[in-house]
Amino acid sequence: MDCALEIKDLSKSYSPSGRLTRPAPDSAGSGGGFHLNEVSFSLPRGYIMGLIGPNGAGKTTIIKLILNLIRRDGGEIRVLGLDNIAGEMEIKSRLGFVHDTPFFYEHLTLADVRKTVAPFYRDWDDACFRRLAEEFELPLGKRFKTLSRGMKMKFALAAALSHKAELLILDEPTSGLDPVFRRELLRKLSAFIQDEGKSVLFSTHITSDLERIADFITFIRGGRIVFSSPRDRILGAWVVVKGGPELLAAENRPLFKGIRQSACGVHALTAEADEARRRFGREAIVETATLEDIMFFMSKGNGHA
Amino acid sequence: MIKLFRKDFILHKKFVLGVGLVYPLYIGYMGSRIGRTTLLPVLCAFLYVIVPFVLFGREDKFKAETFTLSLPVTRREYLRARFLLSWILMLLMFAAGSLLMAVVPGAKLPAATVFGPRMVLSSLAFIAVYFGLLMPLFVRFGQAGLLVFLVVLQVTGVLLMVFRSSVGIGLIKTLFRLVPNAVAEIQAAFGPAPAVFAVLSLLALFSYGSFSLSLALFRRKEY
Repeated sequence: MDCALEIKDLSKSYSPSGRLTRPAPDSAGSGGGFHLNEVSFSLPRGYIMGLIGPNGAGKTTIIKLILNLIRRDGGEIRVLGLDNIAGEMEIKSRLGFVHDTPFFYEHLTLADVRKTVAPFYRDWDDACFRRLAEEFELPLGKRFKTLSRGMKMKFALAAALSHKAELLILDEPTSGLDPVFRRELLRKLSAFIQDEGKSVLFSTHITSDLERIADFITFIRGGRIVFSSPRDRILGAWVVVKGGPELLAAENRPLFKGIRQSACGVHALTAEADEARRRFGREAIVETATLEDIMFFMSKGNGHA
Repeated sequence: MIKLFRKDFILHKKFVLGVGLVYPLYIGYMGSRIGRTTLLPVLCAFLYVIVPFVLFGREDKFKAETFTLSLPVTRREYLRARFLLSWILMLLMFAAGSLLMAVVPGAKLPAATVFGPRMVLSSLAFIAVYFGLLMPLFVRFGQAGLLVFLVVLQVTGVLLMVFRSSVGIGLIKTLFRLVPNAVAEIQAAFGPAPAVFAVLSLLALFSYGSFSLSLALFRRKEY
């Protein structure tokens, strides 16, 4: 299969004093450090992949490793068929990026930032940038530091989409955006991949966005890949079973990936939809799980022992 | 390389123009008050070397390196552009500062001395040494690297004073004069041109070493 991105056995560790990440309680940390453990997944050309996971799971670390902003301890990253370090220049000129925190040169106007960015790309399309700036209502004469986070994100997106990138890597691009623009962005990303061979890797907490557009979902937790599969397969296989305490019978427990108990009853997540329907179809409610359900149940404290 | 220069110029143009006009005036006046040919290059070279680091510190402040390094540019290319830009800035400051030193009324040193080969060479040597030592520290520690450098200088000074009282001034002077004496011997044996060539080669070698160390540190830097 022709892949836009292939990651094989990628690992990265930070010591407890590492200043790059502050793992959340539900992160890959052990003893306060952080470990990305032999992460492997691939994104075929022409598709959108959503990268999801709780805070500190390693999503931004993976994106920084792809961009060679941090050094990998082991494994392999191939972007557009090239090693991300050996082919760094070529890859970066064919790749668009949006960081979770849009750091630019704060005291410059957007027009000046464009002037600094454009020469780096051999395929920079100024007409496209101006069209997007108009569409996103970007005030090109304003200083970057005076913009809201949402506007800064829009500018970063406009820049990422203006140089005929073959792969877009977006780290939390929808955070800080209003719902109207979020929908607009999703529409743009769908349109982007209509152009044959273009792909998107999209990390986000807003899983509903991914349910709308992602073809593949990669779920990372604690520095490990929980699954990386086509969205439809995930949404078809994962269900939430809602019922009484009898669900917690010993023979049922191995079926569940996560359990939540409350006064109202027991909610349990499983990746075996058919088996759950067969076992509990009459005595419990079996509902298709959303990506948010999966993230919630799989987070620490909700998983069964 | 050009695109990186262009970026730096757009990013710092107001600052560069402001500093470019005012700073040489300051150095020119201050330098004109110094009458010792040994002190002038030592002090002024440090003032020239500070300029590029102030510029780079601004980029550090905006945390814009993450962004720049996400663009199609390798770390080697990025660092090479920084070295080249620094040398251009330092040499421009040196030229402007020296010119002003020579023309300020009542200057303690005549223009012939300020622009003499000995003064030019020793100024270049101190610029290269300060810059070559500062750059790896800046790459590793950011702006705090400047403080590390000053602290190291202070500690070295204290150690030399201790050393001076215990073993006498003669040995320290010998150490300090090691390179100038070697250059003088080359000049005596082969003439001034080979001596100048030897000094410039030594400086180029030192700068290359500084670049290599900076690059090794820069490649380890994570964002």
